[in-house]
Amino acid sequence: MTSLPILSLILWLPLVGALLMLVPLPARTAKIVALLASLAVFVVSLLLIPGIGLFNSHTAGLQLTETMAWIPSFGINYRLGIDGISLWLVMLTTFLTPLTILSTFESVSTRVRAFEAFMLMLETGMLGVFLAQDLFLFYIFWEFTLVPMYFLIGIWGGQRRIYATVKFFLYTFTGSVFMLLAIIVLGVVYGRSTSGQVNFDLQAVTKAIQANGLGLSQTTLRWLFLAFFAAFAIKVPMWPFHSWLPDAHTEAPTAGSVILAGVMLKLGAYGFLRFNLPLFPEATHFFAPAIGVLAVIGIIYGALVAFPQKDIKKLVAYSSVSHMGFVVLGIFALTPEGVHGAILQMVNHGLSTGALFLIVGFIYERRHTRDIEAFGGLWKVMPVYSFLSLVIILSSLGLPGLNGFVGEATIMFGTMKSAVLGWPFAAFGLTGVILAAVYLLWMFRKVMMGDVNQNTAAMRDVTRTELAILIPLIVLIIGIGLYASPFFRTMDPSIEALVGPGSKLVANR
Amino acid sequence: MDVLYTLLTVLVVLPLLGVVVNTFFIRQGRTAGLVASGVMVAAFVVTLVILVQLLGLAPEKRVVDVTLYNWIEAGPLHVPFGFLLDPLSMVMLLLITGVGTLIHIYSIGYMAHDARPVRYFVYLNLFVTSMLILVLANNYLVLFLGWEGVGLCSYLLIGSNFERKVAQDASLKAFVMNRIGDFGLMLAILGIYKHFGTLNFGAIFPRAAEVMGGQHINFIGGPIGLATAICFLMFIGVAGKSAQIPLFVWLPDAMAGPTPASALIHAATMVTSGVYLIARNHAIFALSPATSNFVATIGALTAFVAASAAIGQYDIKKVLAYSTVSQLGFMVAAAGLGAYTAALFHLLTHGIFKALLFLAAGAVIHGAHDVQDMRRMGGLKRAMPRTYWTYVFGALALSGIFPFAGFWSKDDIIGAAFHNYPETGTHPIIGVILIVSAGLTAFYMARQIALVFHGSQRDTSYHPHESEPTMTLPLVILAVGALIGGLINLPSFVPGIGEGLGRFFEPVFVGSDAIPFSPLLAGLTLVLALAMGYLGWQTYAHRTWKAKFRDPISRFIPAFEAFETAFGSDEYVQFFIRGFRATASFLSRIFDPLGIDGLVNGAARLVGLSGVGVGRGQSGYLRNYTLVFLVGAVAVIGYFGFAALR
Repeated sequence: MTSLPILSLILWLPLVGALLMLVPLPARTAKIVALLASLAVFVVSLLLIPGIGLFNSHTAGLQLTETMAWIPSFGINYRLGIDGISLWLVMLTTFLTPLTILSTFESVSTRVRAFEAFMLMLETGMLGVFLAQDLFLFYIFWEFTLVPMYFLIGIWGGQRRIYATVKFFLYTFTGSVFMLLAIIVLGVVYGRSTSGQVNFDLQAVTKAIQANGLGLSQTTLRWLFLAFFAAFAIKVPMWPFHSWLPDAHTEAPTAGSVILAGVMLKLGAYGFLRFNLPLFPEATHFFAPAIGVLAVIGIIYGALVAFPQKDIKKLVAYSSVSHMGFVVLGIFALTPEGVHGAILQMVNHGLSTGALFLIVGFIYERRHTRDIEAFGGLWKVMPVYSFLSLVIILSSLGLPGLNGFVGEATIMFGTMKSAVLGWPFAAFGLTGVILAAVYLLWMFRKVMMGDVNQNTAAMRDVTRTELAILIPLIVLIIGIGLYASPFFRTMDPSIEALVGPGSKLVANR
Repeated sequence: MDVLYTLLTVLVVLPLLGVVVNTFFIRQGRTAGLVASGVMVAAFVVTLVILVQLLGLAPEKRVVDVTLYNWIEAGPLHVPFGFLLDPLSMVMLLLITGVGTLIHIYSIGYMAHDARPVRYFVYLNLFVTSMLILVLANNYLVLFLGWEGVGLCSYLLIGSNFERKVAQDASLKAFVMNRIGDFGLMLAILGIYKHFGTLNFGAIFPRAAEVMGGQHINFIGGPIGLATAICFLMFIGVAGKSAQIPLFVWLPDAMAGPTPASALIHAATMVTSGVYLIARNHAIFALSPATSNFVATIGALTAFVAASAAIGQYDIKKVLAYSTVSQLGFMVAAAGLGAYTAALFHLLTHGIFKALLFLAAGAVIHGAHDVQDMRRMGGLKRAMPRTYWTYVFGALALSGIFPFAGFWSKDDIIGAAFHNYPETGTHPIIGVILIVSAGLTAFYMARQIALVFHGSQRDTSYHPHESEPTMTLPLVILAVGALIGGLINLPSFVPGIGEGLGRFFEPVFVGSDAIPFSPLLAGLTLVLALAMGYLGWQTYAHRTWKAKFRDPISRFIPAFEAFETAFGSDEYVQFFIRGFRATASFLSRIFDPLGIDGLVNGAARLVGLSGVGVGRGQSGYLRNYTLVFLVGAVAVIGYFGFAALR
């Protein structure tokens, strides 16, 4: 590639920002520098926007690829690329990070430079996961994201932060070990079956494995599928691997929760799409119904457990278990509708749940509690805040006209049509939509409705900074809800290649 | 075509404009009311222009299908944001903007002393927008957008006085009950997409018989017909939105909202969307006689149960609320029978006279300083004569007294029950249940008028007064409608004249039977209504009651308490709520922390990481892990870095 290495630019720019944090700037200046750095990343990523930018909506394969030899002796290369599956997730990351950093302006006051540095490092890590097209490079970014998040929770978290962050780290790390093993097996076996040279090039491995299964037996391939699945299912998190999430969320600082829910949970779902489906078509079909069952259990279970929570953050955390269940259901419906919906729903969940954690953070800043019972009557004292919160809550419970509905409905169309899942999955999954209304409006009732009490009487409405954070989110929530076609269209060729009628997944059934 | 495209867009955008203007620029209640009413007047004018345009087309060409833009395009799934104008949606537009405008104007006076009038008008305009989208949708998903949109506005309006626990409970209940219904509707929509590959009405209904005929799906108890399954699921949605058994319990509670909102949403328009849904999907319902009979039966039962419950209420609005449930039962029964014109005819007349009754009840409450208990009223006729007379007009129309609007429309429905349909035959039992319910209707309305307006004022702690002209003028207009509304579909005594609505609908409900007018049935029902009305009048109008009296018929009818609680219908809701709470609390307090997380922590302990499971926040462990990780990371990265340099 002789042209601008745009993906590398997007990928490493945040890290440059993080390095700037080494300069002993005053706290306020450091925050501004960090914000500018993340904004710069966002602006550069805008160059990708289809139609006006570099991304071509009409090709299925990888675009804007960059390849550089890194460790030739092990067949590890620095290889980046983007396609319809990762485009909006990259955009989500670059969009959400500046908003999150802006939220630290009012909520972070200790060791500011370190905090912002970790936030920016995290951005590079997450972007790396979405952009890497080499198995080993992917793994490095995958694990790398753990480090800044580990410190964000461990240093700036709540009372039980150590427990939460160690649990988060070890749990997700354990799952990843299996994936590392599978990656090494794939690289080595690929080498043995072709040139004799170990190779971790994802595209090459995918092509070879789809052609002849790399000479591996069906059983081996299924085990490899499960090894990837372990890492991704924990990250999503799917039921019953979710128990690290409520702890991590409740203890994490607001900005950490926003990124955790907004982007990091999507790394797992993205992994399914990038690795499990294309690498192991047969195993995917074999396991899809079982995974569908887990997804549906997660949808219902997460919603049920969310309802009685006293800690608002925990309620939102369990709602993520429920919502991510929809995403997984859509993926393993193995229909174009299902995958379309799943990818859009990842973005939607990032926006609405990210926003939910922000609004919880805003009132936490004011009263230093997240006890649902401590609030009440905010609709009276904080009308603008309550109005914006209502929109976000409605987006999260899937009200038509807002983004969440488009994603969930499309997933449901895909699930209903699916040859491997079908109507029982759609029917049980849909009950989660009823339950979402129950627990979210219950929270709204407890916090916003009712009369003001001593605790809430003097709460001031949203500040300008808070408004500046929420407005862009609300604009997208409404925008995607009313006009989703442009988002879907850019994904179409890549999804068609993945699960369309001519794809390996469907053709060889 | 292009003209109508523009007109329809303008129509939907107008109330939305009111929402935007009032949300962002208006802080003063009366101004907000004027803005909201202004856009409604404009919307009504636009609707009339649309009507003229539509009538200008030949009857068989009166179907205008326009796409504004592509809402969702996900692979094979294509959902346009599009509108369908035909005689069916046309009459709904007239009802929504016509009655809606009057209610908006009325609200200016009614909400003058409210704490948050601007919000109220925002919700009201948003409701109209959603309702217009619902009836204009040209596909299922846009319909669903309107369907849930009106539900949201209903939730917001019921919860207007969110300081009060009653309003909080009622709003949540309304939303969740509606969502249960929406679950059924959405599942039906999913099924339709699976089998038709599209969601557009225009592409589905003509092919309904071909695609669904003879198709079965496997269910737990064996195969069931595809059309039956879809219709049944759709009916769950109808039961939720149109308050049918078993999902009706939210509607009486919804009276916690402001009274004009009840008039618009919980009487005239939103709650009738279920009836509209069945009418819109008549091509599919026609394929499932089993579901049609089921729908008719549920409708008739609802009509009876709710009419009985209305007798047992002391709250002026609750009587009307149960009455609405009952009348919706009539409409649903008619739709189930296949008498779509009769259902829509009653939907229209009911929309007028029930809106009238609610607004007049609002005027009573307003003039009686927020008293709603009829036992504390009495003799209000003298203080509010205009309200009284309009109320009487509404009551006569509702009771089906000749020549008021309700007489004609209710009679069409009862006639349909005795009509011999080729597929499903006659339905004499349903007919008898409906006639009895009509009798009960006359009784509870006579009771209400006697208790509210006649006799002497039992609680004299307040001074009742007549309402201002912006409130009474809409009442008078609606009272005229309640009197002459039957004209739109009078029976055809002279060939070629009458049955205007039926002929207007002919292109929509092709092949649906016209119900011949039966003087015998009409006479019988009228006599029964007059007798029951007289009985109610005699029971309540001639005695002096104390302010906290027990209803006299409770001595004759042991089941009176069952009427009061609508046969304990709230109990079963409570049963489900308790079950839900118990399950949720077991999962969150025991199963999740001790079961799932217990396993995780147990496993961690097993491999020697004892500190993790106990979680006492030992900072030593953090340092250890950090150290281990950093050393590992440095080793790995160093190794590869070294390898790269080599």
